[in-house]
Amino acid sequence: MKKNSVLWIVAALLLGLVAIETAFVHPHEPVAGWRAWPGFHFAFGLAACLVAVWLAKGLGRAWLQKPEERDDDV
Amino acid sequence: MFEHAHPSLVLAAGAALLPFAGRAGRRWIPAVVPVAALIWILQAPAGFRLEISAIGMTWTVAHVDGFSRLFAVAFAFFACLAGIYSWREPSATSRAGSMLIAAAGIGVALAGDLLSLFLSWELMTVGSVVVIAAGRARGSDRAAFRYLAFHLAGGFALLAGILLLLVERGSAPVARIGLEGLSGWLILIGFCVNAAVPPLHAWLPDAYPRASPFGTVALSAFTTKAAVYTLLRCFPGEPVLVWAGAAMALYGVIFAVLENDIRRLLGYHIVSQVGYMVCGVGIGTAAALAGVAAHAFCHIFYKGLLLMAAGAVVHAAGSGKLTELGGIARQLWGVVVLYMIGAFAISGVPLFSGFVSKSIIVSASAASAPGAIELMLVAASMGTFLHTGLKLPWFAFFARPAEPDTKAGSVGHVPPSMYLAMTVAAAVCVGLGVLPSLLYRAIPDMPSYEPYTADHVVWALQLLAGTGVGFRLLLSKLGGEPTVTFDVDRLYRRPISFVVTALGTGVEALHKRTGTLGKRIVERIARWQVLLAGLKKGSLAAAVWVLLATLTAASLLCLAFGVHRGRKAAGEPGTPPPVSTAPGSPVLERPADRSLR
Repeated sequence: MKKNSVLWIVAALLLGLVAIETAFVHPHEPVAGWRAWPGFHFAFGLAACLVAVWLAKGLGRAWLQKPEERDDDV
Repeated sequence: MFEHAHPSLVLAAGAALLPFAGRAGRRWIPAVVPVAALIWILQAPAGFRLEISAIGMTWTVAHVDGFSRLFAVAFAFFACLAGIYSWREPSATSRAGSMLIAAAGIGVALAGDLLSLFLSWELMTVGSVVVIAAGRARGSDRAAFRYLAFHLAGGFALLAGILLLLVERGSAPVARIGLEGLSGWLILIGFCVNAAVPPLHAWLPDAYPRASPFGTVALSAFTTKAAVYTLLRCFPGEPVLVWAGAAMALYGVIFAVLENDIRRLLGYHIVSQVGYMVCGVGIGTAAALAGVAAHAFCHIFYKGLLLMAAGAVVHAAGSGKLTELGGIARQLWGVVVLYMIGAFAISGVPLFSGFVSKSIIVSASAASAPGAIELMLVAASMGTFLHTGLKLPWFAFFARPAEPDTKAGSVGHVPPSMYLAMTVAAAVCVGLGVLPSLLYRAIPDMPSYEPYTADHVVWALQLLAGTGVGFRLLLSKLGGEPTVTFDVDRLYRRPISFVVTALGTGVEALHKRTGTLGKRIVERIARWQVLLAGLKKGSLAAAVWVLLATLTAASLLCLAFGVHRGRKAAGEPGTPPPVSTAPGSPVLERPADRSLR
């Protein structure tokens, strides 16, 4: 129940932010066109987060992460 | 007053006095002496030059202008905070090393010619090696040796580049160099080693967590930011730096996902944040360079604050691993609050310092760099909030401990001196965020810039919210794991060890097989075997010997060059005289005036 209410609050906040952006926010300096799309930064933050973690975990499993005992300090 | 002293000399004298001082002296000297340096820097008139003549050359050891004063003030102020923070540091060696690093950082910021800069550069290596080796953590000695090996290689590249530049141009002021010749590339490599530009960065996450919690704070502020300063002076507008910086910003973010050690995680975020600055230097417009200076200034304090808080956790809980922490927020609530101020600052949350500095670089990239660069910088901003603002505090402070025998039940006391230093650093982070004009006024030729516009604020909040939702979705995957992360240092650790072993074995074999005549000579060489064996083990004494030998070689090279130059000037009347270093000469041109774009 508590979890659901938090999610509703977050969703409402996000919708509010997008509404504010659509109504009032206009870039006051040159930016790439897609940065001015309503909600772009939210979607980009979410997508970049998922991609970064997926990529890092994949690299970690394949090559980069080793058990602590392997910290052969030469 | 100014003609008879140099702030670096004052700090170095303080460092030299420390081992002989009593308990009170050891506590007060690191906190008070930087104040004297700070007063010198603030009071020195603009355009002031301090020159000395030695080995046939004029050395401009201090030149005060807008950029040099800004960086030197940040270094001296932070040195004072680091001195307060390390009030309870038991090792006088570590404190002396910290003061040496601060002295060297200020020396780099004030240097008017590249040879003076090189001396401070190497002094910074000496201080850092001392601080890391004094850490007494597992592997501190060896990490100090690797740090030394890496930075000596970088120092040699830098020295070779400077000497080549002197041959080519007759003078080497701290001014724009460019990448037209070999000298420029060698100097750039030397600077990039200290700026931790991948793949030359692995020394940073390797060494910083091995110092003591106090030592790591001193290490975090000076080396990379001094390198950013030198890049800003000597290589503004070099396109290669735009891509290198943007890649660097993402590299640190990717590796931080895998880290379990909180100081190593924050180390990767130094790489990421310095990436913004390197990218800004590469963009090279007046706005981008102003953003670099502003971000470097803010970074010194918010990253210092984050590492102070991490150090307080290590000091109180006895561990810095996410798998061994968790559930300690109640015991360390003051540290949590101060840490979160630093985390909000580095993440670019409105009303904190990172927001007013980072956004200048991102805006400059939007105006003058390819679109992909802007996207990469925004993505790196997401990663910064994900790790320093969400992952680290959640798993270190709030989450239930991952393992039953964690430190939650045995958290010790955090000394008031640590709280005092963290509070002042936090005040700087909030103060500059609320009143950015305080910072902007100090930046020379700062273009008109308003950080608190509706688009900046709403976009920043959206990015943070998107990251927050992503964190919630991935919570189960982001916890610490009892692993170590292999970085590019694994590529050179074993070869270095192999070379040192092979040299030792070779000398030993030669010693056994040579006849009586040869034995005398080889016996002399064999003495070096002791040194080689020491190097193999990562002995600090051996490392210091190598350092001294290198510095001697570097000094001899400089001396030979000076003598050669003096003879040339005396014997050849047609030889063009060195570039004038008199006041008002255009030796120290501001990079913004000569940006390539």
